[in-house]
Amino acid sequence: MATRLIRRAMNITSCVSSSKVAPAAPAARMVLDRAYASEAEAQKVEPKATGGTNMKTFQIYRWNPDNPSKPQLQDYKIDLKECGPMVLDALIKIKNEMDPTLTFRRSCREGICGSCAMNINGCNGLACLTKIESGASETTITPLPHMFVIKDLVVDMTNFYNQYKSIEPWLKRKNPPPTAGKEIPQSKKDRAKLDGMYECILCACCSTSCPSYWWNPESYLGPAALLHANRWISDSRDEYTKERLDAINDEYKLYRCHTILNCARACPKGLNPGKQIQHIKQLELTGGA
Amino acid sequence: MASSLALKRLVSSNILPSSLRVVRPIVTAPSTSRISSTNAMRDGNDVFDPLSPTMSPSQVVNTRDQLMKNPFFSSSRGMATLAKGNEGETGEQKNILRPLSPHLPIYKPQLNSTLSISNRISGAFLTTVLLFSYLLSLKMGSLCLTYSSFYQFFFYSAKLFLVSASVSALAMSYHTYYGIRHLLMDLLKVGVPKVK
Repeated sequence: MATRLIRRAMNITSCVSSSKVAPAAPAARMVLDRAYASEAEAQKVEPKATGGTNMKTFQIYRWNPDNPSKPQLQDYKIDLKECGPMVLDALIKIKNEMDPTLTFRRSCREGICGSCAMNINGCNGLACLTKIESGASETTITPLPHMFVIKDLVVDMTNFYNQYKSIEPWLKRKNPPPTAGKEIPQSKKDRAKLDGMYECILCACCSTSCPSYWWNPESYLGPAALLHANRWISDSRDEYTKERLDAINDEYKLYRCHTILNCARACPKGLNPGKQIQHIKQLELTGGA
Repeated sequence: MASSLALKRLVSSNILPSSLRVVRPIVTAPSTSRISSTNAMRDGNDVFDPLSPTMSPSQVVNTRDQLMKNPFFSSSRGMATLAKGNEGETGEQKNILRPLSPHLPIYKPQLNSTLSISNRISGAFLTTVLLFSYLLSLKMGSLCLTYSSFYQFFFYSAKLFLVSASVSALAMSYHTYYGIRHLLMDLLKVGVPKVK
């Protein structure tokens, strides 16, 4: 009986320590209960470096608004042999197996939605299109530079989207189309002028790579918005070209661009916003085409 | 004039703490700025801007609310607001200062950005040289005769003059070449770097 008392005491202490154990009648719990693990804990994998693994360390920026303290870089070790080739695969693997609290945006996993834009090893890019660097060096993942962090790798894109809206990215005409009720015709040459601008997915990699945008985020429009401004200025069907050029012909909105050209280097779709901005500046010089 | 303007802007944009922006009413989401962009690295590096007050986040939020006359400011006894006690608490909980993601410390320097910032630095350097050369050459005599410490300093550092002259020659040539490249790129579209 003394041993039963001791066992009950041990049961109670184990009950207190592992909060997931369901309470049962003391008679039924003669043996020491094992703590029932939740499913998330069951999936937890502690990676061990053995002969057949290829471990890589990821340093990921963490900040929690529910527990605000200084933002930190947290280390995660991933076995590259059990992981897809892209950084997004590594992030999803970390979230599934090691740390479910890691927060990031993602959607299409193929480089067309622009959700997973972040700073990988110092350069902006899409996580789903950036290959994990082979080799033992650490990969550092931080959110898009100089943006307010909502949580971990998620940033506040409100200002960016507002700037895009401010350039009025829709077709504006003063006259009805030449054949009423039908589409506005555009030659192949005119349509080719839009190449290199319509593909923009608004991932914000370019704008957040521009130091000029870092220092003046609210007044400078940024390469992405200016690329789209050029897209509508160069559209032959749009008739408000002069007004569009005048709207951005501003010391801050356009001329904060000093052709640093970080944007062209950062664009994951291979576009060149710097070239488009130069085109706008030339049009402003010649008095609006 | 353009380079001095640029110098002023460079200085002001880098030094002006974003905590001063706390005073302006924010139109977007309830998030204000805090100077912790350089706090993103591993713990221990407390790089606070010297001009910023070291207040806890709740203090800063409270200050901001006071300045903005935010109705969610709960502990205001003197202010006649419409704040309800419970709502004030939850509203105050939501007003967390969001950090700014790291930019300069972590961004990889690239050829184009390095060339561009070197142009700016050389321009600033040449401006200071230009402005100080007036002082040096024309006022040197009267300056040295009035302040003996200056005389001592210039006497011993006179050998540095040749070094500084070659450095400023380097800066001048680099700035000129970059300026010509800029003009060519803008006007004639010559030499625009290809993408990737």
